[in-house]
Amino acid sequence: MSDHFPEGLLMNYHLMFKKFKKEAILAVQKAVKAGLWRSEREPAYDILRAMFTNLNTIYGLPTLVLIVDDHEYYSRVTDMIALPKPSLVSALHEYRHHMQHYGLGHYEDDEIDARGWSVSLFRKALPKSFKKAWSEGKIWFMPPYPTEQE
Amino acid sequence: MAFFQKQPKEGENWVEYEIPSMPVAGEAAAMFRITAPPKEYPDADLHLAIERAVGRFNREHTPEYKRGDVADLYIDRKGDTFRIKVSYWPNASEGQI
Repeated sequence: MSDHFPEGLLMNYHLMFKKFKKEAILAVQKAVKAGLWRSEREPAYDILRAMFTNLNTIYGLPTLVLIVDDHEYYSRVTDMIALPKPSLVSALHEYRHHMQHYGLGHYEDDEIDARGWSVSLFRKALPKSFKKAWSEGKIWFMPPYPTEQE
Repeated sequence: MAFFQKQPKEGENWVEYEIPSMPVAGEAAAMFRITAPPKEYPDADLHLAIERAVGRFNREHTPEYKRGDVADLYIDRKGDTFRIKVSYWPNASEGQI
């Protein structure tokens, strides 16, 4: 893993990763097209499970389990992700911890790495949705959305 | 802070705690299983460790941050000790997209 962060990029998580596998971008787009943001809770969790299956195939990683719980977490002990809500960015964040577990992390700080990877992939796959969500403050850890004067 | 507790590691909006495993047994286990929400839990031990990490975060970061500001947890285990990284952000309980 890298020892340092790009100068000035610490909070600009959407700029921390520039290149992604094309199939990973498609997997994220497919989840949204399948109705992730329009579905009821249970079908939405199933859409995320399908996305994880696709990502595991793309990155060659072991199966993981997605459960509903009070807290959002990734357990290396059991290869398990928990989400209180079927959030795309949260799902990608926790999936990045799964990648880190199997040696696919990049930045030394695994939280920074997970925030950067998930937000950057969201921006890459769904640029309009990313911009809207950022401007509405719906993405954690991001700096304030830049105004036109900036 | 008690002498046996290590100082937590900290980074950009996260703090890592070492939580000794406390196997739940007997009557306590029966009580715990009633309150443990998901059936998928591989062991009650993990759930208890999560609650202890969140509780410790809450105690150490009040009043600046509260329980609902816990964004996510990254859990590892070395032997009998859970290593739980608690990441936080204001109003995380409201969720993100």
